[in-house]
Amino acid sequence: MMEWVNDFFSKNIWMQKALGRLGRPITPAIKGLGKFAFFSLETGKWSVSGSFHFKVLIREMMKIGVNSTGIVALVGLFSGMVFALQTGSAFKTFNAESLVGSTVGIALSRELAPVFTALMIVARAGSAMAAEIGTMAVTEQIDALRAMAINPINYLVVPRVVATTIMLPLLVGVFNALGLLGSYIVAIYLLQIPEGPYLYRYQTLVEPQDFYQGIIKGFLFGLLISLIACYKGFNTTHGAEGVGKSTTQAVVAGSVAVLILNYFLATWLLKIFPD
Amino acid sequence: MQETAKQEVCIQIDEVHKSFGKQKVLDGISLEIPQGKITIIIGRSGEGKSVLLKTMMALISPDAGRITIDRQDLFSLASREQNDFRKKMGMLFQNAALFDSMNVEDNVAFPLREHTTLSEREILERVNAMLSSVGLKEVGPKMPSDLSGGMRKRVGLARALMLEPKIIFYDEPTTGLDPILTDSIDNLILDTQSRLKLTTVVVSHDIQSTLKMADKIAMLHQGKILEEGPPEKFTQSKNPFIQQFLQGKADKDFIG
Repeated sequence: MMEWVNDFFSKNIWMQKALGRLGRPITPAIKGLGKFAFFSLETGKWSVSGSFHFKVLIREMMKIGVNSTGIVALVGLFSGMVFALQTGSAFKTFNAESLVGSTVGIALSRELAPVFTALMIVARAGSAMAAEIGTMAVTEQIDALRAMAINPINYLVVPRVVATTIMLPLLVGVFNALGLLGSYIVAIYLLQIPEGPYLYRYQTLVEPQDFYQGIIKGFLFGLLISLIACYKGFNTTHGAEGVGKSTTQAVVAGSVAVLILNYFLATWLLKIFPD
Repeated sequence: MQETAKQEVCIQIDEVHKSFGKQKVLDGISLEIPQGKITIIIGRSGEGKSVLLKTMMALISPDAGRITIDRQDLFSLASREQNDFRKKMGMLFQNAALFDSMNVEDNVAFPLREHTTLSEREILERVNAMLSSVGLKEVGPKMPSDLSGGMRKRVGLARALMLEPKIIFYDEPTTGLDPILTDSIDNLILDTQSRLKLTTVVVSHDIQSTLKMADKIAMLHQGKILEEGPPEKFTQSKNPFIQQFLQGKADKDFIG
């Protein structure tokens, strides 16, 4: 069988060329994925076995989490408000305004809060991570760490990944809380929806598991976006231009990965927590 | 020459090859670095001198060949052992590679904080002693971006010496410095050498400094060692390329 295949390809030069052309864009993509997987495994290994840099972790949690609270809260508030406004006017046509609370509640806790928060953190912290580590790579600071017998994955990557993975679910919580507040304000005071039915529907239709779904998503998004950002930063070459490129790539790859992973997570979570 | 033959070898490089993609950088390098002496590796820019230096520190692994340091084969060690092995070595990077998120004091204290259990008071004492031994005082609270190129190199050297290494590598220590600063860094290298009796390896293309300081010179050209020996061997060499390099002349049709 193999001989036949070899024979076939050695005789058909055009076939070789066609396959070669097909493989050209695929090979680097697969290579990149492999390198990323290896990088993630290495990070996992060091997060278990390496010496722990508590100070760096706290500093990163401050930068990634605490300093992002304001902007996440603001975005959460306005997302909740606009959702209440839109669903409110739509539901009015069939007299179901009291469902605004529960609809916004479910949408926020399952989808909007984790996805929006993750996108905000990609843009705010992921870009900063890629730029900072990228600059360290091109100015030989990462080599300097290694020269001082310090593993750069353990020192630079592990605290950032752990910090993002811890902080993102918490920020999802902040987004949820402010989103609900926003929808409450718009529904009750602007759309004049009666408060009693609004809260009753909310209480009966929104389950704790809706929040769990969001938190689980936040946790996994945090892990993914910080790994991507650190990986892009770590593999930066070619000076300042390279740092810019890595930063852009970290944001683009991080956002796309969040949106794609979100779909598959939703499928999986709907199986675990059936309605 | 007989003296060098008797000298103990600290780093033994055997047939080291390294390519990046299709570009062959090191093409079978063999070299002995004598213990406790200053060896200077010279060559044109982009000839792979820094790559050779980083290979000796196991920051880059070669495609083929062997590097033995103190009779220990560097690339047969597991990565953690390699890591421990690096504590014996210090390196001053081309642009000092100071951590720009930390001030000078924290930069110099960094290796001690990571690798020792000394108290903070002891660490600061040592940091200050080290900083004044490289000619710096009262710069501790400054950030690296506030320092001049020469000062950054001094801080980089102080940091590299904190773990009391036996071998020190300098990657183009005087590139980009004015002649007076160049001389002061040269003196710093010589002073460090005579004070601590380290095995010193310098990568340079500064001919004046090289002839002044080196116990041994090795010339890297097109991925190979073109010539090695004491400075006199170079000044008396008949090799046209070496003469050209020593005099710093470009060919007529050379476009660099």
